[in-house]
Parts: sequence; C-alpha cells; structure tokens
Amino acid sequence: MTVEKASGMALHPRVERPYARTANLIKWFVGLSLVAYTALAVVHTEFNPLKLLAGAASAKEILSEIVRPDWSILPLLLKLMNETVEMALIGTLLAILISFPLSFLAAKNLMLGTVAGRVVYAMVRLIFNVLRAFEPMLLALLFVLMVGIGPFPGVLALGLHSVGMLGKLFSESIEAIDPGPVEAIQACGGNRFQVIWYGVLPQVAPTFLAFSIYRWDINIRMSIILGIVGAGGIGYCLLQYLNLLQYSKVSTAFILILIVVTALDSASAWLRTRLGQR
Amino acid sequence: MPNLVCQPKIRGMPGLLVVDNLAHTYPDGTKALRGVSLTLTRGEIVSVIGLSGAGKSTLLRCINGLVHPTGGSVEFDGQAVGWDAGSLRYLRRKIAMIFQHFNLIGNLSVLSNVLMGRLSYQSCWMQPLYSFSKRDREIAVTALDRVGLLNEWDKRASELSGGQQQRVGVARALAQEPRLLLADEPVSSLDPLTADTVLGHFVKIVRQEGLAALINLHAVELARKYSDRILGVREGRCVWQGPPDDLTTPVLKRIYGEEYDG
Repeated sequence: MTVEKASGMALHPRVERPYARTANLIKWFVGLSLVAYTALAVVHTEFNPLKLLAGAASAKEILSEIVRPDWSILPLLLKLMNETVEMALIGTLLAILISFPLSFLAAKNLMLGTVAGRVVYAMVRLIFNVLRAFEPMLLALLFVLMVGIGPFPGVLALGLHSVGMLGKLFSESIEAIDPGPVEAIQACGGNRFQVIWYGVLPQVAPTFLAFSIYRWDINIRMSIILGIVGAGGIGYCLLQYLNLLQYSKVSTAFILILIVVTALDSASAWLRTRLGQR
Repeated sequence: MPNLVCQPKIRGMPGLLVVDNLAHTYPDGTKALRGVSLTLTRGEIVSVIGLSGAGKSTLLRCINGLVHPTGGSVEFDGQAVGWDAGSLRYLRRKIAMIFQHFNLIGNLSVLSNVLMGRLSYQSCWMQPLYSFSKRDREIAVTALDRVGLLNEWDKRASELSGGQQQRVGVARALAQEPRLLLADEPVSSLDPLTADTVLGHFVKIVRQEGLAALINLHAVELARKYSDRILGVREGRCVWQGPPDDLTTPVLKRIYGEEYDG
C-alpha cells in the first residue's frame, strides 16, 4: 500500500500534492466550523445543568402528586386509550388501502419498461416522497382546522403520512423480488394481472404484512402525541390534565400509556419475527 | 462457421416447431443469436449443447417469446407465431417451460404451484380469488401424481429438496397440457445423481405422453443418454446436429472449442 502510494506520488507530483493540500484545508475548515457551531448552540439553547437542579426543588410539589396516581379516572382513560388504538388502526388501514395498489406503480422492475410506465413511476414516487415529508403533527393541525377537534383529523393525518412510508417500503420490497417466478408465470401464459397477482404478490405478502403491523405500532405511539393538537384520544385528555395542573391524573395516564405501548410493541415485534421466519 | 439448417431425423413428418433463421441482439449490442434454424417433430426429444453464453437460453426464450427475437420467425403447429400479447399467451399455453432454478413460488403450496400451469385456462372472475375450476384442480392433482409428489401437495414449495422442486416444475409444465416442453438447463443446479434421476423421469413422461421436448443441457453425457437428436450451438449459431452416436470428440471440439477434452 505505502509503496504504491509513494511511487504514485513520485510519478504524479504536480497532480497529487496540491490536491492533498486542498483536501486537508477543507477537512480542517469543516472540523473547526462544527466545533464553533456546537459552542454557539450550547449558548443559544441556554444549556445549564444548574438550572435543572434548581428546578427540581420547585418540582417537589408536582413529584409528590405524581407518585400518587389517581385510579378513579382509569375507566375513562381506558376508553380514550382504546380510541387512540382505534385511530391508529383506521389510519393504518386507510394507508394500506391507498398505498397497496400505488406501490406496484412505484416499483422500478414493473414500470420502467415503457415511457408511460416511467412517467407514472416518477409521479407516484413523488407523491410518496411529498406525503412522507409532511409530519403527522403538521397534517393533524391542518385537519383539525378543516374537520374540527376529534379523532377523525388524527386518522386522516396518520393515514396520509403512512401512505408515504408504506408506499415506499412496499414498492422497495416489490423491487427486491426474485424475477424467476415472474418469468415462470409469464411462460405459463399468464396475463399481466396474473403475473402480478400470482408471480409478485405471494413473494411480497409476508413483508407487506410485517410492514403494516410495524406501521400500526408506530401509529399508536404517534396518535397519543396527535391528541395534543386536538386530534382525539388519550393525548387530548392528557393535555387537559396538564393544563389544569392535575398531576395525579397525569401520572395515571402516563402509567397506562407506558403499559399499553410496551405491550403492543412486544406483540408487534413477536408477530413480525413470526412472519420473518416463514 | 457454417450455419446448418437442422432437419428432423424423420423426413416427411410435419414439423411441430419450425424455427427459421432466428436472431436476437440485446439492447447493449450483444448478438446472442445469429440466425438459428431448426425443426422439431412430434414426439421428438432434442438436446441443445454448447458453452455458457453460446445462446442456448436465448434460443429457448425466443421460441416462447420471453425474449422477443430481433430477426427470423417461429412456426408452431403449422401457424406462424405473432409477437403480440394475445398470440403469445395462446402459444405459451401449448409450450410449457422448465427452468434451471425451478422458479417456483416458495411461499405457496406445492399444489398451488402446479395450478399455476392452469393460469391460462382460469376464468376471469376467479383470477383475483386464487380459485380454480374443479377440472383445473383435477388436472393439477393428476400432474402431481405423475411426478410422484402427491403426498407432498400441501407442503410449502420452498420446503422441498432441489430434485423435488424440479419435479414440481415438471408437474406445473404438464398441467398446462402442452404439446412441446422447453427445458432450460433443467438439472444444472442438482447433484449429478439426482440430475440423472430427474432428467430420466422427465424424459420417460415426455415419451409416454407423446410430447416433444427441446432441452438445453450442460452435461454432454446426459444429452447422449436421453435425446433423439443433439444440436451443437456456438456463438449464436447452430454448428452441428446429429444423433447421439455421432457425437464424437472432433465434433465436441467443434462445439466447445479446441480446449475441449472429453
């Protein structure tokens, strides 16, 4: 290595040395800029551990209430938690319904054959990218303004954002299929629909299912947060308790969220492993 | 290199498949086929031998339109083959194909894989439902029984051994009720012993059913053992054809190049 490098330098002294010098300068410049920016950020964010210690003292009252959760509101919270899970379910199903057919139109291996195919491919890809770029929180704010406070705007926000992600994951798994069975279905005299339905679909079905469960899992956690902007579920209630300084009720909500999210998380992980092992 | 027109052994018999001056140039300019002509009669088993990249695979794929020929013509059962989707589907119903890597759908059951051979007969409204008529299912079961795998019908295809998977591939082809079978290196991914068994079984079925087969083979020994006629393909051209007994070392050198030592 070193010998090669040295001889290379000797052969092209004029080309290699100035280039190496510029590269070094750039490295130093980027490095120093990063350090300077980090220092500025510490100042701007008013990062100060002492402030946290001082705050902890005044939070004593809050803490004393938080360690005494109010179990009387549990039935109400369970109902709201259920609403949150349902929001995530309907949002995810909506996303699956839209992204499933679209994902075939966004798969390179199926679409790049013809000019029309290329145009459709580019358009669907663009739709997926745009939808993914909109945070569910922003979408929820927008939909709350459009259809009013409640779980429905949350469903729409989760659904639309998930179309972007599921569409991308679905179409990528279509691109990763084995072309062999597709060729076999063609050779059996299958039409275009049969080639997709019998050659492609069985290969991607387990992956599609795993991604959908994973997305539902993410959407449950996300729909809790969405409640905070007025899009229904347990999050909306949590915000109200916080505003009314009812910390023992906040505590109950926290515990419930923790238990439900952890349980569903492990359930979805278990299901996905089962699908992967098939 | 002379380009032979490969005639069938039995003269005067009508050709089931007549391939005339078939050529294919890939979009990158590679000339895979430079004009191959051959005729296959009913009940004939013909092997195609030659180096990897000589054009054997392209030849088979041009016959059933998986690859569109850039020159020449194919005539099947007395009718010229058109390259539009409709005629191709009709053609592929009658010409079944078997692949080197079996090309089964691993997630589906063995029987479902055999039923794929009935796709071109499946009625329109049944297509989205993965549902087949009673007749189609009976044909698939018979085909599976023919290759001796009826007991494994509900296993997932990917759970079977290589030899068993290729037998499912054969059953899928038989379920089409074809006139001609194209086999592209059908036993190249199997161990030598299994390869001989599977190919022997395949050839036996083809003979019993009175079908014709065009088989690409890597192993010269298998080609000698199982075919009525052998074609030698080199650099996209048919350079030799004759009965297995005439396949001598000088001939093999012509097909495989001077380096051949058999």
